Amino acid sequence: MELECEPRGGRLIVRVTGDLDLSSAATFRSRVDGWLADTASRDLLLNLRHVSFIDSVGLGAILGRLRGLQRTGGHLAIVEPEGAVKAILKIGGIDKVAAVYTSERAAVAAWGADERGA
Amino acid sequence: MEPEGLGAAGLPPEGPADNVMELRLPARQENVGVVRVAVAAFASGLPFTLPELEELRVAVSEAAGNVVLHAYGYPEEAAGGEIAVRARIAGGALTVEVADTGRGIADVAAARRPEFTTSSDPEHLGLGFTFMEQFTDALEVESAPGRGTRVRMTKRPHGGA
Repeated sequence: MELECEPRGGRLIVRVTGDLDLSSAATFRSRVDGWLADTASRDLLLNLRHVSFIDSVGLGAILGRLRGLQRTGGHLAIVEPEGAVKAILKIGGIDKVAAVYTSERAAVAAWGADERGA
Repeated sequence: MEPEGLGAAGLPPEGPADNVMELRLPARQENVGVVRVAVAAFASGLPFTLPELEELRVAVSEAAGNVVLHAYGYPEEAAGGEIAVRARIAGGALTVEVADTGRGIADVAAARRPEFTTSSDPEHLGLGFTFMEQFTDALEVESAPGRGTRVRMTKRPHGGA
């Protein structure tokens, strides 16, 4: 798994590539939490476009970040993965708890719309 | 002592038409990926669709992941336990068994319930068995406390033309 982080206007974009699973979830947790703290970001956009595999531990790590954000009034947005991995996330119920977008551009545009509406 | 895991007596012998793969690996996190890749490659001997193969990868990972997380105690490296896998293609179906000789599950019915977990970690969702059940056609779990657990999953290709 590879992670890339981009702070943008008080928010954090994290791009995940590879397998988000039992063996990578701990790294995912600690790095994302560290970036959120370091950048004082309230909202997180997880770009899962290039996630090739996810299991229940990976799903738990995503939901764990969501709970942390909710405690501070932040939001989680997700760019959905491609192909079969997308179905796994849906079965895991991720679309019920996070805003799911088909592209990073669409997710960032929705952030902008939020700001204009606020 | 005959291990409770694969290779133990009680498994039906292979028929001549069966294709069988067996793996034994140390119960370590990094080997869960090895197991799912190997089983998915083996499964391509049947006409599974890509979504079906993805489901299989998840189900197998949950089974192997449970061995790493629960069977031998954590950290698993210290315990020296193994994940034993046998995959078999017969009669147009794939059967995957994932076994360990670890601590076993006291109450299998409870463990199979969605969101059941023995972990105090709030990020452990307790969805391992749920995913195994959802992503295969049949799931059997046999376990004996102190002797080990064997999960048997069967999956048939349903999708493609």
